[in-house]
Amino acid sequence: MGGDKVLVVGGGSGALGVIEGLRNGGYSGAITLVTNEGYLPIDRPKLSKALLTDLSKLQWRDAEWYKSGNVEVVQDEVTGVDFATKTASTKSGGKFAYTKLVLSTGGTPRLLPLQGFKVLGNIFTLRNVGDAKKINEAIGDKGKKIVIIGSSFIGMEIAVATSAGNDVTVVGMEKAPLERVLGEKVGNLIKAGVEAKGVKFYLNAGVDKAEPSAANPSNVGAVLLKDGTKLEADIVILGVGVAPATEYLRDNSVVRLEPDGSLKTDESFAVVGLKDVYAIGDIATYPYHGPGGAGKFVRIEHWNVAQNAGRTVANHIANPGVKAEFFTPVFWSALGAQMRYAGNTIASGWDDVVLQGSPDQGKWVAYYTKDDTVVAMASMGMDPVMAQCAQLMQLNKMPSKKEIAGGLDVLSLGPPQ
Amino acid sequence: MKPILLFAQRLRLRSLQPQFVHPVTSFRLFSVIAHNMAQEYKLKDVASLSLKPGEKQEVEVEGLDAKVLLVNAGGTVQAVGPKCTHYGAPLAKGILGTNGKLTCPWHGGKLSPPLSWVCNAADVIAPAQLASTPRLAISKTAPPSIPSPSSRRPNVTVPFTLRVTRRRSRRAVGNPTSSATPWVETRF
Repeated sequence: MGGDKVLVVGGGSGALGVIEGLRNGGYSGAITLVTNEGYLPIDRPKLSKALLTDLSKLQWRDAEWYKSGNVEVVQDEVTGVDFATKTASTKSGGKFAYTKLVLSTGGTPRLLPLQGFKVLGNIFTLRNVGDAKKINEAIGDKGKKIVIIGSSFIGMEIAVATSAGNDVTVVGMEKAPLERVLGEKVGNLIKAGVEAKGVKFYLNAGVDKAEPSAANPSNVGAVLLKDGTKLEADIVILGVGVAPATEYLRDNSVVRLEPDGSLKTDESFAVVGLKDVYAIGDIATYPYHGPGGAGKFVRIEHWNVAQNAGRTVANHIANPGVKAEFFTPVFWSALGAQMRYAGNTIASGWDDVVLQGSPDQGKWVAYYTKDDTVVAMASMGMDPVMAQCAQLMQLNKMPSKKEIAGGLDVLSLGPPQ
Repeated sequence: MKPILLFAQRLRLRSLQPQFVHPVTSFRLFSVIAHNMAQEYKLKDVASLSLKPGEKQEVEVEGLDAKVLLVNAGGTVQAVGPKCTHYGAPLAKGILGTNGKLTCPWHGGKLSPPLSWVCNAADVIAPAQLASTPRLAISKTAPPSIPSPSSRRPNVTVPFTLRVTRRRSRRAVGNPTSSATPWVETRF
């Protein structure tokens, strides 16, 4: 025994949200963070947006800060949890008891199960600082042929980040980049902006295999597409999604993972069926109460959502009886210009997009609608429309599709609340 | 016409990160305040603080070559640093609700009144917070300055405290020429 002890497993954005939320909320018990990344929690978006590797610029807080807040940081990897005795065990043989457990282990980048991709060098994924360092080293003094596989956000951001001085090609299965999230029309708007940076696209494309380089057969030399196209490559970067990093629970007899490997939680991110255990970030499937959500379960891989979930957990630990407040999911992406997004379409789906602004001038807002409900929006060059919409969605005061289609400017509504 | 002035004092925090609001340390921080003489700075072209709830105004601070953002956060006028310390977004372009919550225009970080308190992620660090409690430790010797994110590094926070003050009207004070004219801190 020894009083309250919160154990946070995984050191990403969500972990920082929990820790700050707990301490700022007056929690005075013990806090231990176990992270396997080898550094303190970082501002991960900077990896894909700028391939930044300087820890002093990436780490949100320094060691002194954790020390001053009496937060123990352990560089180790949790390999199992005994929910009955409330103990987590680690790779190096450590055991950590908890009164509350917060799982925030994030995602593991997916690989391509295709010929060549698992054996050849200079094929990378991007999740942590080590990955970014390897990519930067491979790029070296530039002039490289870079093939990026995957036309969603990570792939597109890396394409933009590496486009200066390199020959960059994006290969995607979709008709337009980012189509799954933003739709074909908006995806093509963004594509035009990224093409202006010299990035080339192969869309509607399937990857066949990776071939070795003639000069150095241990490294990749080309990517072959299913239609026979051969793309020469010095470097290949995979942006084909992440899977919830919950391997340490896979063989646990007490917990049942969702089919995608995530953990199902309630609105407070407490894991369903477990006591005193929370899951946040990429590993959490939680009921969504945003516009059109109707409490359907979603898993959202946003930095902002992870951190808000962490703050929600901190509040719940401090005030278990208080109902969790809905927060609007928000993300942004460096796609030539900054794209901003609020809301979510996973729960509701969407059946139409209403576009406002002047897309030809790079200023637009896209409202994603389901029936008459605006469930999400994306914008470029229209600040602070996204912030306004995030606030309106939080208050359940987002105008209807009919009003938006009639030309309503959400900023004309004035300060929300 | 009532000139609006600011007390500006540089905070010397060993770390530029937000401090934990810790029950033990907060007492210590408070005790420092009383021993310091505040320095006063005029807000340029601001005659009165007539902001309504939900209104905000970026103003220059004379003598500091800097700006602050005045906000009516849910009925209380505060001055905050003009840029979000996350990536330096201009908070003048943020969304201030009539409930006092301020949302950053770039990444949706949200601050609750008093605006030092981050209630919603995206910005894990509050912009410089002024005129609200707790006031943090201050240095007598360091020159006053308004912080701004000098780079896209999220490591600047509450490096100073400002109190918005208003000179008492001449009639009320009685002796307008006295050099000892009292300056009264006002919570707007």
